[in-house]
Amino acid sequence: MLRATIRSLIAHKLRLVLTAISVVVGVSFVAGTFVLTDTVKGTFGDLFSQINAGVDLHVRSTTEFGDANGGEPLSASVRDTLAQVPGVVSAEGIVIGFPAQVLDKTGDAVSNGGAPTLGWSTYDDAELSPFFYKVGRAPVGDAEVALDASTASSHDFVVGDLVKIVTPEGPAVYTITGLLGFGAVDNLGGATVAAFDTPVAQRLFDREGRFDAVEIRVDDAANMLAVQAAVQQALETIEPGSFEAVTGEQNAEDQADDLNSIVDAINRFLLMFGYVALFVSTYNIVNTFSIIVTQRTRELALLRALGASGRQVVSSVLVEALVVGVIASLAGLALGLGIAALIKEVLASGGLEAPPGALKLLPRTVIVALVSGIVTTVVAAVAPALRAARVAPIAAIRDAQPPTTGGSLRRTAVGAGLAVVGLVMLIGVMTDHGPSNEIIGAGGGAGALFIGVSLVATLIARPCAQIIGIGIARFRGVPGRLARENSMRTPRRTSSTASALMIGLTLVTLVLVLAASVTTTVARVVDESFGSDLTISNEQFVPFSPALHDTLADLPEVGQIGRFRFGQARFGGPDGEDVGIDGIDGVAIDTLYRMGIENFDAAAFDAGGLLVSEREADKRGLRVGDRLQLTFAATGTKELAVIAVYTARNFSSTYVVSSAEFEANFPQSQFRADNLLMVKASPGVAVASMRDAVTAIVERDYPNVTVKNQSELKAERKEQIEQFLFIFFAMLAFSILIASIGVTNTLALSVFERTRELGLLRAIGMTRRQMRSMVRWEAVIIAVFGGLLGLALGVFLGFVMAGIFDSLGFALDIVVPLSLVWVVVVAFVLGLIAAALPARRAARLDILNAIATE
Amino acid sequence: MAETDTPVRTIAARAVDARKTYGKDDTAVHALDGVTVDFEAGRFTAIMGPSGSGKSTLMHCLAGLDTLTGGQVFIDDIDLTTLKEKDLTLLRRERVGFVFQSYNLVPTLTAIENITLPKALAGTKPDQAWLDTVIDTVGLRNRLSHKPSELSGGQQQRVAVARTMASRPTIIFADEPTGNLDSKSSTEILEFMRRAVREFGQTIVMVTHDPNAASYADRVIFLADGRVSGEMSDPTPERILDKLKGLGG
Repeated sequence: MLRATIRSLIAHKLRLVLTAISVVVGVSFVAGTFVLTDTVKGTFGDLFSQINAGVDLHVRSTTEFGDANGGEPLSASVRDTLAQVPGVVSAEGIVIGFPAQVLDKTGDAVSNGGAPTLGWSTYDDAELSPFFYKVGRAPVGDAEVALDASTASSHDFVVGDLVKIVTPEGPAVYTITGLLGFGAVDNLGGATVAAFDTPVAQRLFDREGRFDAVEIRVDDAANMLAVQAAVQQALETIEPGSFEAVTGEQNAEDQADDLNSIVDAINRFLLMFGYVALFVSTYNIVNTFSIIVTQRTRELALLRALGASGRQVVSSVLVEALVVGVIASLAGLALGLGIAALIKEVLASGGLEAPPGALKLLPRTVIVALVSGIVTTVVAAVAPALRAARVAPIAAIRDAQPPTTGGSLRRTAVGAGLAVVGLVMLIGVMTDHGPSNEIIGAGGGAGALFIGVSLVATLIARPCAQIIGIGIARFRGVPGRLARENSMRTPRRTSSTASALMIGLTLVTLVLVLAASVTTTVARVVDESFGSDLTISNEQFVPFSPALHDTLADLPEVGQIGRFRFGQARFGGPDGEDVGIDGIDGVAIDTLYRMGIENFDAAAFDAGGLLVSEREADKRGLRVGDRLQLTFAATGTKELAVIAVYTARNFSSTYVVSSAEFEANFPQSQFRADNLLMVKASPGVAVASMRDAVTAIVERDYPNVTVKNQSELKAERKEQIEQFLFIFFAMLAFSILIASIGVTNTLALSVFERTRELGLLRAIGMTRRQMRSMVRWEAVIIAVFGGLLGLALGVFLGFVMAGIFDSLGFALDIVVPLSLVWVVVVAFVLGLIAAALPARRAARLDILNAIATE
Repeated sequence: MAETDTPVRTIAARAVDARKTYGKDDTAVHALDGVTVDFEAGRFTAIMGPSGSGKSTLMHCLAGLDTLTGGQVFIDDIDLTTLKEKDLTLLRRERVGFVFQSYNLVPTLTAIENITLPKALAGTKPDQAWLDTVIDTVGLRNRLSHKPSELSGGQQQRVAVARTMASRPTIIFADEPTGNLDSKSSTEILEFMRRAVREFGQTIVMVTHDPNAASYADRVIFLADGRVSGEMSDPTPERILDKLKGLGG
């Protein structure tokens, strides 16, 4: 039996190669994602280990949740106390502040794709220092700075140059005294680092008399654990439970954790597309094996007649699938490594420097890649294998024509059932009522939905192909008519080929609908939210120096100005639900920023009163006068009084406090920077002249933000959403590519199967051009069917998701954009491209051989 | 349309020293070894011969489906050996009709669509009056909207014959058209072909190994080892059998 399997493999090598390619693409996507994210994580891990290498103990305030280093600053006296602990060689207070926006020599903001712009204090003890001076010396006094060597070299700064840096205190010009290296690299994972003399850093980042942490070097001869215990003891006497002393290694892990959680999120995002691609390739596998089994009916029947058992037939097909799966998975793994290496180079050239030759291939990656590839292939081949086992021995003698199977009632019913179950699972996951495991819930739900729709699609394949083919049959002559008939003759094949394409195009459609809806919603919210003339923000919503607010407030042209900051807290205790909380200047409420509050009590608000959105109030049964508990990461659980329920549907989702209250609860410097400023001209001053004054300052000192009126803000948001769309499309392109290979595969197999018929057509006068045209239009009908399925399902899911968002508190104005036409156009073009190869083959068919095939 | 006794007949197709060799040198097989034969217009000719005599090869070459390695074949005085692939296709479409032993019809098209297929491929409209005549002749009027899978083997062959006649080709080639049929259906098909020749002046060349089928022809040409080994006019099954015995077939 094994020999028969191997011979079959060789005989069908072309179609198996096509099938394998789809698995290779899917596996390489999955493997490449793991390798890349592991490598990036490894790079960060190495980096933080290196910079913490000399730190024996890292002392910081405790936090309630989230970033372990996001606690309140420590008083300088803590350092003084710890320096006295026996075994402590040196104890340094450090400041790591944000933002320290460097402007390059042309006045542009230096930025590596939104990576942080950090300001760091210098160290007296070089062994504790995360950086060393590759060139020059440490900065001393108010007017000096040291820059990371990577930023310096990419922007032509050398020691002795002047550089403008914008800190929370505002812009200032510094002399570069040194260039910083971090272990083996010149750059801290893409972030820019500016080091200031410690007292300067304290002043710039609002840490006078305080530090973000204290770092300690322990005497080599002393017992580390004992010293750590003594340090912790000392901390407890200062204020019990408020501080913790962790090892340098622990701190390296904590620092990496923060970035790792971002990398993990990227990993999950990318993997999703990898699994979609693999899922799509199962369609190709099912199709190919089904057709191979059909074509091998005679051979299989002969084997059965010679005494092979049904089980032997099944295993012969499955072994064939296994071989394909193993080879394709190994190839996919290799390709994935290659892709990861390539992307790493791209990232390195984009500022993320990694130690050379450190591509991380973990055993987990190998296992996941091989298992997903092999399991996908073998599982997909099970149904065709079982069908093969049902071939009766008598079929060896009969001239067995492949049966034309349509959508049976049972198939449709099962499909509809699966689709509903899948949809319910998806809704459950998104509304937190579904399976606890999101991956299984979302993946299983989407899988069930797609398979279900594919099964139902068999029922409608014939009428749909007929309708889609109307124009083709009408205007493309006999080849067009035959193409339409051919697309209708095996509905199961047509629908499963089209369904593979449907998956990618459903997601494209869904993303297009959501993007259009979000764009429209954002535009509406912008219109409804802002009563200001201008808004100022970073294009990527990276927070910017609060000094800009104060500078603009001093302009005579500016009448009113308000700041806006976003943060997150937890409802109730530290384990409560995450809720959004905004900090807004009281002066802006219902003037610059519409909240819809009657009789707004500005005094109560400034005194720490809480504003609650109408929806949140309804959800939690809150009323004006209620006191509720919110927990902040740094400052712990606070009790706040609800002073008003706001009705406007603006950018604030749940809670709003005054800027002062916000600052009191978010001591971390990234939360003390502003996300948005709203500006209104002074009475009698034209908006245009106010804008000129504001723009002059922004262009001179704050090039990382943009000034815009409402319609410009809307345009900027729209552009951002479109950029995001582009990423989605690039990722989905893989799945769509695989589905196109599936179309090619199906047509190649159909051409092979219809050899006699094609020979006849050629004999009675069909030209090669007509032959090509016939195959091409069949492909187009199948592909457009897939496109329309995707369009319908995608729009439907768009409405479902809008409904879910609405129930979650984000009212989405659902929009079905005209750009969806492109989905069908893309399907049409893909059909044309996918048909090229099989059409050529059909045209080149040897007529004599074809008609002689008895 | 009685033209049985027209004194000078035009030649619909002919082969002049036609040669077809497979392989080279020692292993060379001469499927056609210098065949020269004329097929007169308006006559029904059968080609007979033992297996491997070259009868199918001759027909394929005459029809422009296969190419010669030497000599020439003509249809309507057009030298097929000078034509390019595309012109051969057009020639087949306009001047040649085919009836094969089986698998004659496109399964996705109805009977009438199959009948008009060559015209449709050429993008021209069929002559409706002639089409009606052909349909009535083969007796398929009430089966026109059926797909091939809904027709019996005999009906399918009748549709195939109707298709070849509908485009009024110079010549119809039939390759064992009754090979897969029972005797009743065979007789029907052969009667139709004879009527087509007698009543409409159609030229038909039929390859067969069945003496009974060949006896419907006006003339039988015998092939053996790639050469013409004899011919017979107004054949009967008995005379054909005798001749075949002499050829050792």
